[in-house]
Amino acid sequence: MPETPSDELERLRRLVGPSERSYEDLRADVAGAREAAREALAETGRLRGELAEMRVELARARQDQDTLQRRREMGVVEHLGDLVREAWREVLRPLAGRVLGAVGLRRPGPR
Amino acid sequence: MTRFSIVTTVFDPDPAHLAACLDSVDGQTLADWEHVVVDDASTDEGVIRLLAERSTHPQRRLVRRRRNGGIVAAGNDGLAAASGDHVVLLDHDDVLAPVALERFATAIDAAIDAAIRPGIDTTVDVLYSDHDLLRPDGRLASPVFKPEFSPERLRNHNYITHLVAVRRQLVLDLGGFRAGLDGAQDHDLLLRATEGGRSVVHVPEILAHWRQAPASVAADTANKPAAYAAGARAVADQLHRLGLDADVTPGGYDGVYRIRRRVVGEPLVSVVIPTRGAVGRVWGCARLFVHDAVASLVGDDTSRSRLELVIVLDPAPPVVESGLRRIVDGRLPPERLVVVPYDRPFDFPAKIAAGVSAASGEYLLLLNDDTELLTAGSVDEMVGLAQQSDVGMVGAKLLYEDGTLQHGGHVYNGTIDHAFRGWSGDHPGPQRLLAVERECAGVTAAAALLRREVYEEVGGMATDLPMNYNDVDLAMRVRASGRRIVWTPHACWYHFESRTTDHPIEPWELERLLSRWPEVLSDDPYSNPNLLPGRADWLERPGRSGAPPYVVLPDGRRSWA
Repeated sequence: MPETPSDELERLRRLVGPSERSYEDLRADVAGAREAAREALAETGRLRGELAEMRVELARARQDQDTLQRRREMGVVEHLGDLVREAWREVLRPLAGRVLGAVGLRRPGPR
Repeated sequence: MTRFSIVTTVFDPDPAHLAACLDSVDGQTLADWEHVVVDDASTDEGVIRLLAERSTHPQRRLVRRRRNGGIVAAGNDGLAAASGDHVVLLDHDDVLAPVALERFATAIDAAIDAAIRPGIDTTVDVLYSDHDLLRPDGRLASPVFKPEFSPERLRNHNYITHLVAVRRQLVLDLGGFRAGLDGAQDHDLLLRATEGGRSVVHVPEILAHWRQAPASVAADTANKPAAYAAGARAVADQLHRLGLDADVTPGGYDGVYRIRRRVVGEPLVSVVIPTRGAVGRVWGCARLFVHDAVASLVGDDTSRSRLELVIVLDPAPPVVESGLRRIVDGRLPPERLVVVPYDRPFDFPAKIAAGVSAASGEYLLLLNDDTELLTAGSVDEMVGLAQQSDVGMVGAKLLYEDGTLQHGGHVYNGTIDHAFRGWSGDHPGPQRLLAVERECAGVTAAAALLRREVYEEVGGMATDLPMNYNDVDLAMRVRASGRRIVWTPHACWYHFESRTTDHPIEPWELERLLSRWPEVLSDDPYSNPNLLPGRADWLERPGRSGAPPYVVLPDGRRSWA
């Protein structure tokens, strides 16, 4: 990298000089600048990508927090009702199924 | 009357985990089942004792093997002993939801009810459900909400895993589990059982809890290299059976297979590029978009497909066409650059139609001019997929200028959007969705490949949607023709979207689309009803993210502590 503005000026003068070499140097300079811009954008993109993924995680966490918060704020009756529903689905219904099955009253299966 | 046979092979699991598994079977809300338990010569005293105690259940049959033969041999013993109509495969440490069999039964009933005319085959060959993971602390987590049956995705990885039921007679006809494929025997069975247009039903509900134990595939897929090598063989065998020429190797992610199809023949692919010769800046440099799009395409010397470039060009300075001729000079025969003048107002479908009329290829690659090929061989990847007769359209992975994802397939789940738009371009996505070839509801026409016969059969693109949603309409037409649409991550372009045109979506465009396809926003077969409508990032609906209010204790009971 040039040390001072005058160094940079001298470098640019050489690039736009009349020789074929100057043209090649200019092309290389443009290619280098393009690659630098591309890498900088790619780095930004990596961060943007992480942000996009984190936004989903945040939305998920907020949803979960909301669900838990609502459970926490439930009154006793609501809470009991919720517990009973869960218990019915996960414990009582299977248990009832087993009992009914044992006495031949449970749903037999698809027709 | 359908009866389920649950088949479980057992070899020295944690007795508490086995007990939880057996309890979950006993607790089924459906009555008619049998549980065939094959003890593959367990040595753990606790397991032996537990099996002896629990095999007194009248619906459980214990088959003891004298010598340990591995999961394939034991599984086949279980299949031989089963007598039900459908075989349900259950690992010795996994847990069924209480309603698992009931839901499968309901799905079979629904298939029967759906038969509106006598004589329609209502046989359900394969059923599968969603699942989640059962963590070592007993909590259920990481729900896996799956799409409707997706054969391409199944070849790329076993996205189905648990819970699966297969018609027993079909399993017997297939010869059961194949020897030599231990660890991938279930993937292999699924591949074979779902071939040939068989009836496959997805139940979008978590019916199995897959235990995440240290030695299991669920916890650490990296400790199963032999299983993945076997899986690659299973996939290769299926491709061979289907007459598809391809190499299969374990992919860049555990459990994912990389399928490299060989293009049959040297097909002519007409790349139809509508353009007005726009100029813009990308990565700090000015470019004439169509020039760079074409240069990147013809610069790919790995392609087996022959390219024909059909440029549908608005009135533009002569430098646009002369530049194109200079770019393709020496790389394509001159007659394979066709420039079609277009002087009407912008109308994407009309421009595509004009290009197709002038094209002579058997394949059509619809390509925006503001693109740049990123992955060599992309056209061949797309042609390889499109050479399957039941694939109607193939979409590509598109990246923005900054490398983030612009297109990972369409999602029509309460919205019309691109899956995971804005995520990192190299992200595999949840459940490896962005690392595998998979069926989609639709794909963007910014880079989409169709067989010409398909394009013509469905009537091309709708000319009454000149700006937006014409690709959605095309996708719906293709799917209505009974064909699949496949997105592949192995064909990749940069897409400098909206640098050349900018057409905000108008309300009438959505109304017109909905008038033609009223179900488009509510019936994406490759999304899942448990996912939040209006989003394309697989965010679950509230309360379904895998944070249940209870813990599963080692003995299988739920604790609401």
